Amino acid sequence: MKDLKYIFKDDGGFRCGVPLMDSRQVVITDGVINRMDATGDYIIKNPDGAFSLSLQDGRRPSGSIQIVKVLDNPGSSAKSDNYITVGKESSSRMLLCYHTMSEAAYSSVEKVHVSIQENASVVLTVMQNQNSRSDCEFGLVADLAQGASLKLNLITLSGGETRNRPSINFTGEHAGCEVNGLYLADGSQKIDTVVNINHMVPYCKSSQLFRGILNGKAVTKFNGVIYVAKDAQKTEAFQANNNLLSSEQARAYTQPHLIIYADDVKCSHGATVGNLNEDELFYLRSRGISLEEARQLQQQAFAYGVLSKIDNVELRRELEIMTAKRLRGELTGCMACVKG
Amino acid sequence: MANLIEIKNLHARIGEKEILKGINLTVNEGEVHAIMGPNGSGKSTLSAVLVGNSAYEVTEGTVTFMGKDLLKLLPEERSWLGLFLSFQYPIEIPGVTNVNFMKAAVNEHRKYKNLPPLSAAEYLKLMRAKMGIVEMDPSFSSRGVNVGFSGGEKKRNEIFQMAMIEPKLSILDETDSGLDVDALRIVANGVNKLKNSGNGYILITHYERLLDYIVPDFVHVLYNGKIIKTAGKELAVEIESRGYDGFIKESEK
Repeated sequence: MKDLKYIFKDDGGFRCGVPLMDSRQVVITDGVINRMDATGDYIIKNPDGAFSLSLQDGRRPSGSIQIVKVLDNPGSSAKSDNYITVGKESSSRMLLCYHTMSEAAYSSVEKVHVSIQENASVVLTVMQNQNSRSDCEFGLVADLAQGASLKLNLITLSGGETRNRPSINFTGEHAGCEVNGLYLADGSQKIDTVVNINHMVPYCKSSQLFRGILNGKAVTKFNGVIYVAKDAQKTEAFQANNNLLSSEQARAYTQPHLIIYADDVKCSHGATVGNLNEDELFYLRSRGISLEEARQLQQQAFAYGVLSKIDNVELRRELEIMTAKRLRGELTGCMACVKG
Repeated sequence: MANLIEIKNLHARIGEKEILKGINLTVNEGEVHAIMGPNGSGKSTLSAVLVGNSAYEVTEGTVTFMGKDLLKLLPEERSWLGLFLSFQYPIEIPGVTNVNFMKAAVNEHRKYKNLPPLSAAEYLKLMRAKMGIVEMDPSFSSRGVNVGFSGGEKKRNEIFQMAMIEPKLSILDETDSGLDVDALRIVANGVNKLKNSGNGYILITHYERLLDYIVPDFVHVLYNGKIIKTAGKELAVEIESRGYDGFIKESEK
């Protein structure tokens, strides 16, 4: 994996060409909405360079809504508090993309507050693809009411220094969340993830799978906290963090924390840091697959462990292709971004 | 009949332990050689050394394959030249599908021959035909390489890969072990369909059973890192009834 070059330049008519046949798009460039499809059931506002998106009770739009936040003006920095509210009994699929549009240095502090009300369900995929000079802090705080469900896919394809801080709070019983994370780092990129899952009430389930692939001199840190309050009986909470080091100099740190005050719970965690599997590499090479190609196949397979959790086939395919390109150092910007 | 491989006085060790102690073996086009021998005699080491497993160190001897110094080549280069090993214990690779695996392999072989990569349709057609040879269900192609395959399915997958790559010399390392009679017949039939006057086979086996299906031109007994006896197919029958002891004692005289 080589350093990314960002050759893509926005000419004002930016549009994301990815995804999802049925998606509605909102593009926010340097904090200002510059493109918005008819958003159907969603209500979108744009206060102070942020977005606020809400879906009223009982609404179940069939397609996805995609918010693309791009940093364009070189040297621009952004700090914003954003809100997503999904009403009772609603269901929503969302894609949130973060891009930098040139090779200039950018910095951003982005917070997203998500409120998922009773029996609502949300699938939120966050895709970060920023250049190696960018500095990005991304905080996501999700509150899940009774019976609510959240599936969060956090895909970090690239970034200079990225600090991801997802926190999930269970405020109502019988809620569940699944968090799938993939981070790719190379060169001197740094990705630091702190996950907090707070089980405050009984009968909730959480599961996390985070995987990292490191090349070059990349450094990643993963800190996963599962907190189970005294009254949160019958909690089920699982966490896994696996890291694949594809170079000698890359460093992955991983630290699981389980803080459990209830006595009738099922909780577990597992953390690994490993190199490419020599037996697999040899088997692939014995069939005529060159060492470099065998390494690529193995890294893609490792990433697939996370990407396979994304239910939307179209989006999954795009992310698989982008991941493969990224691992080959071929991805220049988000390849699906088109000018139009 | 052109020469495929010529092994001369091959010595190899793993760590400090010498396992191969002077192997001499020549295989020509169109020939099937069986190598039999008790456990620990060096059969699997020989196959591992030939395909370039870096766990083993060659300390003496030469191997010429297709006119080239085999021991200097990378594992993938050995494959491109036409060497194939059917693994005794095929490796499972979760997340890499059989189809992506074989497509990558076939296209790298084509690149070596200066041929363009196969189109998706061409690949599919080739794959279906080759899967037919070992009676493999096409649904296997979308599964992870060997993941969740039974012992028999793994061995069939090895022969399928061999069929896709069309090697000049194939080494089948205990391909018969762990197979029931039906699976053994399917695997052996597959090999027989692929056998022709231009390729060669080395069958490593403990049992004469496999040799009832794939008839060898030569049978070698390997013991303590050396070939101690070579004869025709009848040698396998003799081993089956008498065991190795007699041959070992004779060789030690």
